[in-house]
Amino acid sequence: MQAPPLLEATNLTKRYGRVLALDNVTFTVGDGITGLLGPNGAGKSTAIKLFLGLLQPTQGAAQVMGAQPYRDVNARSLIGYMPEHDCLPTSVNASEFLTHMAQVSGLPPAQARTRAADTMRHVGLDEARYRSIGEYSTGMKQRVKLAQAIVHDPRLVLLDEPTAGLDPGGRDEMLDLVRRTGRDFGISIVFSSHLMGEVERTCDNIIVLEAGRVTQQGSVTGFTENTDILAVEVDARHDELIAALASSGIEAGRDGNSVLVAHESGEHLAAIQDALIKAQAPLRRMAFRRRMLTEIFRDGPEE
Amino acid sequence: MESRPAGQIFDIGYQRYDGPRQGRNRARIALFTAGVRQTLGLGRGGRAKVLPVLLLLTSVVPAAIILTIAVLTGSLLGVESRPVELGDYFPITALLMLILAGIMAPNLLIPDRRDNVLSLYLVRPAVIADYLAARWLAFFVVTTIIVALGPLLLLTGYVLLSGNAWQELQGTWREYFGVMLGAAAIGAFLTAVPLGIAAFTPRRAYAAAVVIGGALVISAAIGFLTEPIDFGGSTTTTTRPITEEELAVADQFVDATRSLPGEAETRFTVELESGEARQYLMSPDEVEQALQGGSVTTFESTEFGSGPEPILDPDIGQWVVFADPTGATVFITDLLFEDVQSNTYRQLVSRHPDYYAIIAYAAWILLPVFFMWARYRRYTT
Repeated sequence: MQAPPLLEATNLTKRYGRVLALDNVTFTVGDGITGLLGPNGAGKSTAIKLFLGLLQPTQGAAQVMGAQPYRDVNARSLIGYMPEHDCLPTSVNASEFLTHMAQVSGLPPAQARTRAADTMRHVGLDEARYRSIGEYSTGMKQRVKLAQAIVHDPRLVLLDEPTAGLDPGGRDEMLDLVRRTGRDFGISIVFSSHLMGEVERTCDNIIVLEAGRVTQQGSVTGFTENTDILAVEVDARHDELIAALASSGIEAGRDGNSVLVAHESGEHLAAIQDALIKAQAPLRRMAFRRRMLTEIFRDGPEE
Repeated sequence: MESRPAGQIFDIGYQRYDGPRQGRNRARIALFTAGVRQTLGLGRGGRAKVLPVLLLLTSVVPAAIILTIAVLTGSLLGVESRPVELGDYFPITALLMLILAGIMAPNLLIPDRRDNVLSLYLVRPAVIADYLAARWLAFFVVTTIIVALGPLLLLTGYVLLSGNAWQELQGTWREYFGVMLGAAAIGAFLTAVPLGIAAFTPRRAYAAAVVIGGALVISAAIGFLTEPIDFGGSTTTTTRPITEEELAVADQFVDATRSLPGEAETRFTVELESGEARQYLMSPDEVEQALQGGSVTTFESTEFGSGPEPILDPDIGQWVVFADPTGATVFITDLLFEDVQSNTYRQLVSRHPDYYAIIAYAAWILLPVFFMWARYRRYTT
């Protein structure tokens, strides 16, 4: 028997008065790290809240591991949630808070304490555990938010814009933590972001939401593989290089300082080397360029 | 079945949790326990413990003072000579306790809304009703215990000082039960009203201000409207043994007192041949009993009836008094301890059958609970 998918949206529609936040979307999410990508207002938070049971669907169903958290209260035991907004008490310390949250997730007190201590170590809060959360920096608070989402060792966590409000350094740390949570801890993750770079760096799978509809979905490698092209970056004599390549029967195009060559086989490398010498072009670097999600996003759907 | 990717071992070792998951019931217990800890300020700084300690002192200190005085004066010879009756003890502390509860209780609801912690609870195996019930019960249990400690101390002091504690204890177990019941009635009130208000105010200070201000203003206003401002009166004195007819007149006066506070108040001083003088405020049975006990030499009746009327007509006042927040619990404890009303405007309540006071009290508890629930309903799950 096939286990139900982690998340399954079936004709899911959510309407706030006249505003249609989600318009009849259907998708599934499996294991691994899945990015929910889309501009602000695309319906990412709404989708997450529907899966969590914080909102009731107008139509359709949002199922988590085959259950509907809106109805099935105990089904929420295996889900974690990190909201986008502030959600932390100020007057307690992280240790007390996480122990409490683990218990509210159903863990007995002794196990909750152990899990709280372990989780703080994993997210790097060990030395701050007995200070009250109100005194934490933004980055540390973000770690506590992540910690409370995974303290009960859920099967799946939903992270709503986990990097919002962080500086570039904090952003990288948080993404690293998300990756580790997904890869090393083995907790499946769905995280929403409006930043494509984040999703590309962190996720295995991607779902693109735009104006309440799913416009694309698939694995990140699926989005970017088979499109490899070789970028030959030279400081000058671009046209000469393209001509030299053409005389060897290699089609090439220009993008800024780079001469782009569709990479088909290793034999091209020798030909490109010859063309460079022939064209006297000063080589800066040569690298495979993978298509970025940004381009996919810009170009629209692509199967 | 499970297709979970095999988690790699991460430096110090992330371990998956395979222990028990107790779901909603554990969540309820955790929310209740956290509510108790928060109310008592446990796991928080020293400042969080100030208010619970003040509440405890409010409950206990008057009892300690009463017992100390009793011991020092040596006036305590038995149950009959208790300097303060148990039923009178609750009203002593009622207002201060309401003020303290007004500051403490909002702490259980408002920070969770302000800091958005509520959303973290609602994605866990608990629904909003679990949360509200757990918070309510936590504050109720803590306040009931604290409120009970004072009268329990007083009662235990009386028992121990009575000379024959064991025998005394057997006679007073009902009173212990009554103390717990009275404390629960007050605890429920101290929980329902401040939490009901805290459900609507964005900041703790506002909730406290509404509770305290409301309690003081309403209770002062009702007192002002229903209490007679001044007493005038006439005195009739007889210095011969009184007759059966006069006793019947006395009974009439007594009935008048019970039914028309502010309009007439009758006090009997009956002086017996033994030289003992007894004063009777309200109970015709007691008057009669005393008169049968010996031959009476003096019968003095003071009628207060010609003084100014209370501002509010007693026919209206008898209903208005139920709106007094400091009175609501006193009516209940008075019922429990069959206490004699010494406060005139509260006597208005005794115009009604007992269950009116119970209904009024129930409204004081249930209406705030209803509004709290209505306010939180939008947190859908």
